Amino acid sequence: MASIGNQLNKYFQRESLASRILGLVYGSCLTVAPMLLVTGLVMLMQWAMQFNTLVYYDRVLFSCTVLYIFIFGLLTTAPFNAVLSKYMQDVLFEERYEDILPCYYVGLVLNIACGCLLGIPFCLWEYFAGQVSLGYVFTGYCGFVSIILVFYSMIYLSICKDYGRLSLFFLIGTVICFALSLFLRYTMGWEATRSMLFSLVVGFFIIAVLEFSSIRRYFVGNSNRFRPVLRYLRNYWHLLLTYFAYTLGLYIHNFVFWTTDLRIEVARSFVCAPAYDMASYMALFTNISATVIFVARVEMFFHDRYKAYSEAVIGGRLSDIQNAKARMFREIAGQLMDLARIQFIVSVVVYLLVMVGMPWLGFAGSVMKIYPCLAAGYFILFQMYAEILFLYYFQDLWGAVFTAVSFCLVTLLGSLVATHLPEIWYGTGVVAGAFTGWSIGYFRLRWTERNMDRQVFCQGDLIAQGKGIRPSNQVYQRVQEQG
Amino acid sequence: MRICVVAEGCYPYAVGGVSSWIHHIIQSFPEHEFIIMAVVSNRELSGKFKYTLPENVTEVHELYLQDSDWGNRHKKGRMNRREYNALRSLLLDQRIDWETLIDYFQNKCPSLNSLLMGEDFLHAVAEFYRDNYSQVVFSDFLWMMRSIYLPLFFTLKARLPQADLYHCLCTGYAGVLGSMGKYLYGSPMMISEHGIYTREREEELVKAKWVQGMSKNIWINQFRKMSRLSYDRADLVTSLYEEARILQIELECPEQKTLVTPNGIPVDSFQNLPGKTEEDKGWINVGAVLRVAPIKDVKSMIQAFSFAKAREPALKLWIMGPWDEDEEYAQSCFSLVEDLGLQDVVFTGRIHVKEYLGRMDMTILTSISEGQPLSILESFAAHRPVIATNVGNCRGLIQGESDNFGDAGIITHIMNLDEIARAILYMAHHPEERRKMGEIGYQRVSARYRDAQMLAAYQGIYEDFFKKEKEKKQEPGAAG
Repeated sequence: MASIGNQLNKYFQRESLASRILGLVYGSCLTVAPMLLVTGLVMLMQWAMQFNTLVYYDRVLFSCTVLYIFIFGLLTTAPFNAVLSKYMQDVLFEERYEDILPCYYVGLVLNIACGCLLGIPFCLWEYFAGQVSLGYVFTGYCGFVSIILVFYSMIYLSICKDYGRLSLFFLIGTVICFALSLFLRYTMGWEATRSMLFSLVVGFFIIAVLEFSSIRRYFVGNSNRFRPVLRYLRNYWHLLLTYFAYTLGLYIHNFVFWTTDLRIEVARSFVCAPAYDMASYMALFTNISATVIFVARVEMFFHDRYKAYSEAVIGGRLSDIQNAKARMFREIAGQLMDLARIQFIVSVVVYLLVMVGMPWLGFAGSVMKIYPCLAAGYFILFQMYAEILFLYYFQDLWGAVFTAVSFCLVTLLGSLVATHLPEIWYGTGVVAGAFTGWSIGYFRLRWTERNMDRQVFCQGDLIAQGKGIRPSNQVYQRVQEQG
Repeated sequence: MRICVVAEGCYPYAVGGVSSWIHHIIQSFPEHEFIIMAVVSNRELSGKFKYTLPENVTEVHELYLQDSDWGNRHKKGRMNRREYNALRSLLLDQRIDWETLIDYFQNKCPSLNSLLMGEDFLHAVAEFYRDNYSQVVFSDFLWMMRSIYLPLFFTLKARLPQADLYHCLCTGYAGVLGSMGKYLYGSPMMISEHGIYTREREEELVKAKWVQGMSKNIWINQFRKMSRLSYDRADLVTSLYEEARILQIELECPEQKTLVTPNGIPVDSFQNLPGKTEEDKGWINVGAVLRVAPIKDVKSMIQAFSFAKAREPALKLWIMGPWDEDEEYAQSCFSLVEDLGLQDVVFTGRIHVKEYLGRMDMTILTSISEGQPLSILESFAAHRPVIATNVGNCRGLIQGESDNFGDAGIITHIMNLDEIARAILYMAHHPEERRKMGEIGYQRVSARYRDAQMLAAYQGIYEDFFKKEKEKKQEPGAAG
């Protein structure tokens, strides 16, 4: 994220309006583009294949397959990516570039292994209990693994800072995917859903392969030092838990509503709640610009303050350190306030557009009733995410764990309660969870401010820790002669 | 009675004047039980004694100034207000509350890592920093303070054996241990300083390259704090000579606690030593009884000898003593002899001094720091004059402090090669003068520096302490 921030910095430092817009577009490309691109691609393919004319079962099976691929792909990769990013940042800081490839391979094995643990049982169930064809199941599984590879490899490309190439890969994958789907459908005569799913898998796989080739191009040396990576996973389990809880919290309310009357079940294996899922996707979309705003404003400006503080700690007087600290926390407070302010304006505009525009596209009824509350919830949720990143900056890993876990748990409990409420309050769980997480994150940041000196100066050991039982300091005892 | 001898960097791990003195004292009082509490640098030295311990030494305990942390790092053990104020007083050097600190380290401090890397220490350092050094880089300052206080905290955390008297051989960490013993067990404490510890550390620090700028001052002040504690808590502070006693008083030792107890040697055992052999015919032997160590400045001695040898070829230098304390320095001395192309320099290694002393025409000592060297007393006992640098009590021994016998040798300035060389040549070319000076030395050592006199003084001191202790215990309401 920091490297994206640096790149954005170049755009934002030029004071023209055009450069500012370019900065925003650039930021959005890198943070939300994959999601939007794939959404757009799926919609385009659906239009080209006349998806609406297909039988209900095929439509729902396809939608659920893609939904599951994304949600569980993200849940698998997010925790590992958080720790591996940290490892890579440290490795790069120490200029041990030959340690990047071992990190990549360890992460790859872990992600694929976790993906298999999740995916294979589900696919077996889908095949045997759901009676879905083997080819379709296998294609879906390949899609799941491919999206894991795409999500996973993306973190390495942010280090390469070759964002142009990354965008190109996505474009190539998308174009091939769309062209292939048309070819399979209209030349080979495949079924619409089958050709769409197969094309998506091929598209994802091509993006993943291109990303991997790029990684190999940048990191040639391989130290084969795998143990330090595993040690990081053990030492920074807090990060693993934080990102797992955060990502789970993003979707856990969906899982809750998949058990209610809103649910539909396909092939005895896929469940979803289309009205709730659509509303939550729209709510996410309404507030997703917060990520861009965060990257563009908060991280970028804050990074300078943080750097100034770090420099003061390393080579400054105590008064310099205290001043830099005060400035840094003033910056955080100001930027959090700005984030909320700007996001509020953007969200209100998008909200109005959704409320006015979506009914024209045929989305009304339950979706539009559920959406407002969820939109409010996601608004708070992204503010909370900014706090998690600040806590991570300050190495307050426990604070990040408290924030993310409380968010996830309260969202779960709140959503369970919300299932008994009227439709317009279905999003209460997300609001409650996000607000709880935000509050804990806020108070933890305040706590961090108060305890910053301890965090900075009181880490580590001065002397080695003795192993085992302390040897006696008495080294000689005269044996008394017995009379 | 149990006497705990608290020794720092000497007995029983290194040979030398102080170690020999301790060994002799222990052997001379077989009626008392002795426990050794030795302050050593780390566990590598553990149990590697250089002396065969006398029968009346029953226990040896060690304190390591560099050790691992054996406490529980994860147990926080924050200080309460009183303890924090005591820590603060230590750092700020303002009416230090040692009792609270000793209680904290003995009973509460979970681990040195948790204390030195903890908030309490950080805040106390920040206060000290603001008051005194607010313009320097704080993180460097903090780490420096941690390294300075680490050995002191190891000391305060040490487990001390219980004894009826704590007899410290210096102030410093040994003095802190003695003070702790007095506080924890209510036993008296005495200090027998051979050199003036604080002054010696100051001299070392001023010359040291590993410590620079303000940290020199902070280190020096650290040793002063420990000395003040030791002098304040001691019931008796002895020194070897009057100048040292005056220095102790200057360093805030209450005058009424001070007493001069000179070294003593068995003078009679140095009579009728074997004289010159066939091998020595035609040679003028110059003997140096010492450890080959930097503090003895053996290199200046060799260089000065080379100047003298150029003018008087009959000179022969005997360097008699071990060189295992600092082998690198010893090797550089050997190389120096080779580089100078110097003949007739003999490194004997560890020897029985009585076998060689009679063969010498004079002895020499070019140390840069000394207390009251036993080697000068032994030389006097063997009727041999001494050339010595003006350090410690060398001038007092050679020129006399409270007698009119005259000069028993020649005093020179430290590292003054020309002066030392001229002294050697003077002695070499004036055999009658040499003989006279040797006799004066003998008269002096016989009059004031006899073993029996020193032992009688310590017999009196120990008895006095034990009598008082006995009375204290017999007082109505006394514990136990």
